[in-house]
Amino acid sequence: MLETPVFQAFCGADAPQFANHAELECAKILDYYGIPWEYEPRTFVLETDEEGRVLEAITPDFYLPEQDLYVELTVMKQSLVTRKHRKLRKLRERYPDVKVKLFNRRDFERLAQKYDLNHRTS
Amino acid sequence: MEELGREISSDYAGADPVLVSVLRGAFVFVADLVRVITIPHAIEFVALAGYGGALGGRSSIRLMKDLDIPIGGRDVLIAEDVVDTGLTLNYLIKTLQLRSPRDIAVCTLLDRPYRRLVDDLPIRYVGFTVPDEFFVGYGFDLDQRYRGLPDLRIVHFPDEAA
Repeated sequence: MLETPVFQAFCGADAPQFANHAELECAKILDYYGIPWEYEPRTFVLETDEEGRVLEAITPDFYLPEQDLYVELTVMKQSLVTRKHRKLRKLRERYPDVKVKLFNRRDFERLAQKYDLNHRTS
Repeated sequence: MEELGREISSDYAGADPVLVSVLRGAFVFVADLVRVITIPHAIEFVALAGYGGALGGRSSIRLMKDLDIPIGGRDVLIAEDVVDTGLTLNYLIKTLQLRSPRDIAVCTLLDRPYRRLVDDLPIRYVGFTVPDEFFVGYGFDLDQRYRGLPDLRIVHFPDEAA
């Protein structure tokens, strides 16, 4: 069970339930630097069938309202992120006005090196 | 470096800017930069509290070492070693803006724009836009070591083969 600290810059409605340690650390970093953030505030439908049922969707992990930027964090090995890349590409195609950035395992490890995080999380 | 110096000297001619260096990573870069800026300028240093992360730390960023002079009405040029997410720089700019400088701009030796989380930063001078590599030397450290290496070196970590 992950800890749920009291966040200063969190501006969502419901308390975040992080899926993994990397998400929690990312939230702590945003909070530390006073960057307002929300956790999984919006799900983007990527594909539906003829009857409108959702076949594929994506819910980016973070939304930074001041930047109007969604951030998807993945700590999967690089070789396994292809599916995630495909979904994000689809999101950009379907929602061209939405800014989204993928932070992958390597990006997160760079952050961890910079901010002294315990980053061996997988 | 000479190119940066020429550009800054020309843009700030007659302005007597305050060059603000962020400790510690930028100290070598700034030492070289000030020697190629040919116009009068002041030099100031700031230090920001590290995040601490898993090692424990404070809940929000703060200045560990503040400016020693007022900057109200003056042109401020922040000299950074590297800008990636922009989180630190964003905090510093917001903090300095509260002191009513005439203008704030940024000069960074290295830039990683593809990792930016805060992208409305006044980055006016960039030495090099660099690939996703980890650097040491020329002021850059790995666990506080290797800052004194005379030039930038890329570090390859053993578990980064994938």
